[in-house]
Amino acid sequence: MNIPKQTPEIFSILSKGNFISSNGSKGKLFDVINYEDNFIILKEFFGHTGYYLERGHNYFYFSQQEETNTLMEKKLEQFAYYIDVMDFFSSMDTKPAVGTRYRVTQIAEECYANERLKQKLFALSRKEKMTDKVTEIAGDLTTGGFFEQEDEDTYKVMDAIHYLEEVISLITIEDDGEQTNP
Amino acid sequence: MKNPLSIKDLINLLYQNREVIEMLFGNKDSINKSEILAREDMTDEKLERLVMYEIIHENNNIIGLDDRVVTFIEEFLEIGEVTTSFINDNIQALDEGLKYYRIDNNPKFLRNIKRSLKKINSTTSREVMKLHKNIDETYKNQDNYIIKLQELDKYKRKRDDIINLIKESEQIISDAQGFFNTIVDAELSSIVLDLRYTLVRNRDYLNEIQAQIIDFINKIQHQAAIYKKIQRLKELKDYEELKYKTNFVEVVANTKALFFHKRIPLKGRLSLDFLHSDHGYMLTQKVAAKLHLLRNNNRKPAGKMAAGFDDKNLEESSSLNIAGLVEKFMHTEEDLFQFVMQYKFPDKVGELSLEKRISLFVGISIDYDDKLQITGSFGRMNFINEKNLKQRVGYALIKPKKQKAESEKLKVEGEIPNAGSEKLEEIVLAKEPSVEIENNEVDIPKNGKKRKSESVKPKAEGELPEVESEKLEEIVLIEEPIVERESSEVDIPKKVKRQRSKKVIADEVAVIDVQVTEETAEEKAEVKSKTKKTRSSKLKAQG
Repeated sequence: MNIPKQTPEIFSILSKGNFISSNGSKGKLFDVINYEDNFIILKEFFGHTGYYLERGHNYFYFSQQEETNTLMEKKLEQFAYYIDVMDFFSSMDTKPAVGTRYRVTQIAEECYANERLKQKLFALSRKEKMTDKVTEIAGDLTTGGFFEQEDEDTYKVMDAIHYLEEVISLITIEDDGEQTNP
Repeated sequence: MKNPLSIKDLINLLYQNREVIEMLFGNKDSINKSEILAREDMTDEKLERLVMYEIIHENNNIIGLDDRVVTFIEEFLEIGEVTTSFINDNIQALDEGLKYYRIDNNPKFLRNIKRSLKKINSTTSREVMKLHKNIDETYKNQDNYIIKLQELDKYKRKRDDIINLIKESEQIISDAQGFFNTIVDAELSSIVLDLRYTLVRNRDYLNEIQAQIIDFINKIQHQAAIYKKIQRLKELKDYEELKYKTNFVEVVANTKALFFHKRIPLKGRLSLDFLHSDHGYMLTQKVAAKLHLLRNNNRKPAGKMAAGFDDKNLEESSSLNIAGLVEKFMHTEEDLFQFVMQYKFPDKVGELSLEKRISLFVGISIDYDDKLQITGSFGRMNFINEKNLKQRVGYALIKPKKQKAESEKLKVEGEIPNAGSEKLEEIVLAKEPSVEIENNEVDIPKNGKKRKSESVKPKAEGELPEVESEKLEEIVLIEEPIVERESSEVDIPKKVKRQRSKKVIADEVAVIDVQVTEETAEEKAEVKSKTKKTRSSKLKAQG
């Protein structure tokens, strides 16, 4: 079994709960994991540590089996927050699809023009300036590994956004006859 | 009028204006005429010449490269949009070439056929590669998802086109296979073989691409649905219905990604082996410098303390010199109780209460019983206690036991320090007061072993002989060097022993003291414990 030499780097990223996306700056690491049998080798290797290497569509991440109640609450809270954030981005003209580039100023601009977006943004961040609000949210997504900052103003959507989409698609909404939001 | 261009002229023209052409190719449709003219390598005539030969064209002051030139460059560099027209053109040309060659076996037509075949080969491969590259690029980096969807759809159609063309080419080749066989040309057969192989390979490749495009398109459509769903979820969340109308909790509970876990950074400890290494030493030095831990590094340990610097620092404490008191008593004819009651203690000790005096009496009667003669008869005393009640106390009459040549031995003491064991015993007996001064807790003259060890002490503590002798005479306040305390601690077990023996004697005293009232008996019990306290509190009185 030949463990790739980038394994420590891979571990240090994934163990922080981050994702490795194919279209991010760590795309090299993605290629390493994706190369030949490396995924299986690494999955087996990390399996001994209690972390399970998981493959998504063009991204990798760690999962862990142990759960506690307090953690559960935190998870729910966190995910509820991501619903808000995703709602905000998907309400914009530019959808948060993989590869989408957002500029903070552009988002702020759009929020000025769109009252509904503006309200969503205000609910998400308490920062004073509009651009600061946007930066805060984008920063949150960046630490989550769903965005990556390309320069001061620009954020790019990573493959890992699929993860959020996957979870969302798993949720089934009870059919209550209510019209879904267009 | 323009002269017709030769290849040489064209290439020369392109070469002379290579900078401009490169710039124009890089900035399609956005170059102003004035911008071009502002360049050092461009003049009005030159520009006119380029326009005349249709290398560039001018439209409303906007300069652009001619499409043919752009296509030429793109095709050569294998960049740009995927077009099926090239393949199509070549297939047409091949078809025609074959037709003509069948009519007329002119090598010119054969050359055309060969060229067409080669071109089909190269263009097909190139277009397929381009297609794949573009699809990937579009999916991963196209901003707008509607455009992304449409572009992917376009590529899907193109793929179908290419696959059809490949099929067409294969059809033509297989139809013409028999015909090719009649032509004796080594190059042709190798070209045909090569082309067949390429076509098969590309077809496989395209099938794969097809699957990928469909996958991508599905993903994007799926995403569009997801965006709608997200907004719906948000709506539910705002109505606080998220937990009740959806299986949100369940789903989140089942996501095991580490992402949702509390991030506990892994903390490794420093390797000790590493710190012992040179590199580790350098590192610790660096850290120490940063924390200013080394600022006192050049300070040396202090020199030796001057001898006797601590002499002035002696502890002072006053304690009753009981041995001295007993010594004085030995020279009187009184009984012990009266002696203790009437004894005038020095001012420093202060006036002793009746209780203290009684406890002193008991203490002496216990500790010095071998020097005392318990007569077996009793004396009585009346007194008024604190509560103004009249009380009567009975006590044992104790007289000093007469010993011989006591005073002589005292003198001998200083002269024979290393006497034999028998003598030593006697000496120690005599010497007791001085031992008492040093360590008033190790003063039981009952046990030979103890005496020996005690007799050694004065020698060891010979540093303060004057002080001791002084005290022996006057017995005022003792200055106890700190060193002494240690020895007193060491001797604790002995003390315990002594206390035990003391109890036994105390019982005797109690027996003797038959007529003591109950109150006094209680008092005495109290006194007993007090005796111990007083002794350890190092009170000392003049003997």
